Amino acid sequence: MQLCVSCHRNLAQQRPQTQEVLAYWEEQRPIQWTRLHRLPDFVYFTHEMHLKAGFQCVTCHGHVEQMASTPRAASLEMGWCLSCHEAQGASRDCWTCHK
Amino acid sequence: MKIKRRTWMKAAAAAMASAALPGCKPQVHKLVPYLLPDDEIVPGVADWYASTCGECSAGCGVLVRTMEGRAKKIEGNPEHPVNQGKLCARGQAAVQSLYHPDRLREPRERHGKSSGVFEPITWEEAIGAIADQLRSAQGRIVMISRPLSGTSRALLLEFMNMVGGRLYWYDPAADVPLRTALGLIFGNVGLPQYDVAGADYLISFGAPFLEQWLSPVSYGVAYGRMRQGRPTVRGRFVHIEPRLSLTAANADRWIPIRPGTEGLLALGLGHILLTERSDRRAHQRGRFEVLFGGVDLKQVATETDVPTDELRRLAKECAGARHPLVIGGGSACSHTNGTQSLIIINGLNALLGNIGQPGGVRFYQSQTYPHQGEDQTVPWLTERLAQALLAEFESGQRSVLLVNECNPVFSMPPVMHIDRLFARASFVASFGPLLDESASLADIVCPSHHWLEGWGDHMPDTAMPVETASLQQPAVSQLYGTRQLGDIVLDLARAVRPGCLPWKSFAELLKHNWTSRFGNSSLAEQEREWVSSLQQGGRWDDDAKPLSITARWTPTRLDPASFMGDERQYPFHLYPYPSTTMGHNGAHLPWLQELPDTLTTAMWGTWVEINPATAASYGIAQGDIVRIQSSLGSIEAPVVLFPGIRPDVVAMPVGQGHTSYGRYATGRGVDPSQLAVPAFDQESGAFATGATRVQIERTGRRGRLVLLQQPAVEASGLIQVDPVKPII
Repeated sequence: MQLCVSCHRNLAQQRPQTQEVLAYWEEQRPIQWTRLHRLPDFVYFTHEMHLKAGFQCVTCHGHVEQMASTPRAASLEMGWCLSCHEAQGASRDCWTCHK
Repeated sequence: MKIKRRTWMKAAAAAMASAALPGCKPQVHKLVPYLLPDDEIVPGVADWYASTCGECSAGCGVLVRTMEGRAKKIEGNPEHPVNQGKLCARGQAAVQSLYHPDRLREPRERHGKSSGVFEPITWEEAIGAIADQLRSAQGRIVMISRPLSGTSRALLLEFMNMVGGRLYWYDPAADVPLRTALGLIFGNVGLPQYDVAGADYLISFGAPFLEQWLSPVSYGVAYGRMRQGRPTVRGRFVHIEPRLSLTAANADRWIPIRPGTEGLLALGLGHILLTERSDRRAHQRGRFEVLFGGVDLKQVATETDVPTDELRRLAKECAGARHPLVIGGGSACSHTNGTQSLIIINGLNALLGNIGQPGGVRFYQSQTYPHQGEDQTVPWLTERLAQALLAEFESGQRSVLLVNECNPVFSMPPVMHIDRLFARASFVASFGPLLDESASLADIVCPSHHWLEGWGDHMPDTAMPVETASLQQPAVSQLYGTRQLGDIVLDLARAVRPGCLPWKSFAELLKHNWTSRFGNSSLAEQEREWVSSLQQGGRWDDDAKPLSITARWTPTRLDPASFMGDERQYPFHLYPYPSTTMGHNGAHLPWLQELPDTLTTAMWGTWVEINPATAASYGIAQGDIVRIQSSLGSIEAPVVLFPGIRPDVVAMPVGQGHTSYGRYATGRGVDPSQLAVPAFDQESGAFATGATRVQIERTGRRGRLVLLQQPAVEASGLIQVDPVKPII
C-alpha cells in the first residue's frame, strides 16, 4: 500500500474515491480488495506469454476504463480458455496449463 | 428396496446439483495487501530456508521453499550428510501436516474428567494449571515423548531432573530389541553405522532399510552407492523375511523364512562359516564357538523352512565377499526372541571381522556437541515398562503424565490398556499438534509448533562418519496460537521453580548452545558462524573419530519364538508391518493416504495380504472381505492376493483404524493390533507384534478395495483404464 499511496497522495486528491483510499492509509489499515479472478491452484497461467502473442488487456478483462464498476468480463473457466486456444491454434495439451 | 451403487450415485449427483443451483454464488475472496511491504519479501519470488525434517527421528536436512511467508515445497538438502539431497514421501508431505485443517490452534482444557469436550483456554491458564499439578505431584511425574536430540533433549532432561520426574522415549518404529541387542553386545554407545555403501555383499534379516528402518533415506542413498556407486563392484543383496517387502523386492534374492526363526538361520549361517569356511578369521575361532558352536543344520533347515543348500550358498557368498555385511531388524525384532536373534545376527558381523571396518559396523564418538546430556540415557518406553508404570499409577498416589508428540494409546496394542494409564494418572497434559487418541484422553492439550514454525537442532542417533549437527529454524511464521515445545518447558520451569532455568526463550538457549560451541572467538565472529550454520542447515565440517569397541560375546541362548494361539485352531501367522507409505503415524496426511503401497498398489484403507494358493483353498478372491480372528478379537478387511508372502502368513499394514487423528485418518481402515495377544520380547520388554496366530474366515461380502489399476470410481469416459492382466 505504501507504493500506491506514494503517488496517490499527490494525484487527484479531491476525488471521493481517492479520499476513500487515502483514508485507509491514514488509519494504517490495509484495503481488503475483493478478488475478481481466482484461478485454482492446479492451473498454471502467466500473462507473459499471452502478451507476447499480441493480446490486448481488453480481450480478457473488458474495457475497464469505461466501466463504473468492474464485473468479471470473462468466466476464466477451462472451456473458455480452450475455445480461445483452439481458435488461435495454441497448444491444447493438458500439460500446457496443468503442470 | 435394494439400491445399486450406481443408482445411488446418480441420485446423489442430482441431489447435489439441485442443492447447488439456487444459491449458486461464488465464494468471495479478499486480497489484502501489505501495508508496508517487507523488504525481504518479493511477491512471486521464493525464499529458501535450510532446516531439519522433524517428521521422524532420522533428521534429514531439508530446504523449504517459501513464498510470501508460506511454505510451499520441501526438498532434501544436497549438502546434508544424512540424506544428501534426497527426501522421503513423509518429508515431502510435511507441508500437509503444517496446513492440516484439524491442527489444534490454542491450548484447551477438558471439560470434566470423563467428557470428550475440550474448551479453549489461554496459555497462562494452561501453564499455570500444569505447573500446579507438577508442584503437587512431588516427583511422581512421567513424561513420554517422541525421541528428541540436541538442545531439546538436554532441556527436557534438565527439566525432568528439576521436577524429579522420569523421561521416556516412545516410538513404535524404534526397533527396541535391536537397540537392546546392540547395547548388550557393544555397551551403551548408541546405534552404529552399518556401512551399506562400502559393503559388497549384504544380508538383511528383515531390516526394512529402504522403507522405515532407523534412517531410511540415508540407507537408501547408501544402498544406491552399494549397487552402482563403484565402477567395478556391484554389491549383492539378499533379504530374509516372511513377506516380500519393498526392501525384499529390491534384493537379488528373497528368502521367505518361517516367522520367528531369523536368529536360528543366523546361527546356522554362523556355524557353517565357523566350521566349514573358517579361512577368514581362523584365529578367532574360539571366541565364536560359544555363539555358533553346536548347531544341527538339519534342524535349522526344518525349522526355518530354508533348505540347507540355500544356507550353504549364503555362507559361500558371504565367505567369498570382500566386505560382507549383515543387518537385522524389522520382522526379526517382532518376536519373543527378538533381542536374542539380533545378538546372533549382529554376531555374524563379528565373526566376519566386520566391526570397525569399512563396509562393516562402525562406531564414531561425538565430541563437538557436548550439550545434549549424553551422560544420561533416556529409556525407551516398551509395552512391558508401560505395564509397570500402570501398576505404579494404580497404587493410588498423585501422578502426572506428560505426553509429547507420540500416541501410545493408538500404537500400543489395545490389550495393553494404555488408556488406563491415562485414566489412572491424576493429571495428563499433551503437547501434540493434533487431538489424537492419546491427546483426547488428556486433561489439558498444549499444542506445540510444527517443526516448520519452530527452532531446534538435531544430532542423528545412528553413528555418522562426519560430525553432524543440524539446525531447525522457522521457515514460516506461526500459523496459530501454538508454542514451541522448548518455550512451554521453560515457562513451566519458571512457574514451578523461578530462576532455575535462566533462559528467556528456547531460541536464546539454542543460540547459546551453538555459539558456545564455536569456541572463544569474538562475538561478531560467533554471530557470523551462527548465521552461516543457519544458512547451511547445520554443521558437518569435521570427520568423526572412529570408536574402537570390544564386543562382549557372552554365551547367548536362542529360545524358539513362542506364538499365541493353538496352531490347529489358528493356522496363520499374523504379520503386521508398518504401512510402507504412511508408517505408524502418517495416516492424517492425505498425500500419504493416496500414495499407493509399492507392492500391492492398494491405498486409502487397510487390507489383508494372502497368498493366492491359500486364498484358493479358502475360495477367497481379490477384494473379498474376510474375518481375521485371533484368540482375543476379530477384524474384517478386504483381501489383496499377494504372491510375495508365505502361504502360512497373512500380512496387514499398520497405521490405519484411528478413532481420533484428524478428519482424513479418523474412521478409515482397521487396526490389526486389535488382534494382538500379549507376548513380549524377553530381554527388551517390547511387544512381540509377530507372535499372534490367527484364523481367516470368509464373510461372503465384497469390500471396497482401492487399487491403482482399479480405482473405486464408476466407469466413465473421463478415466480410461486399460484392463491389466493379473500377474497371478
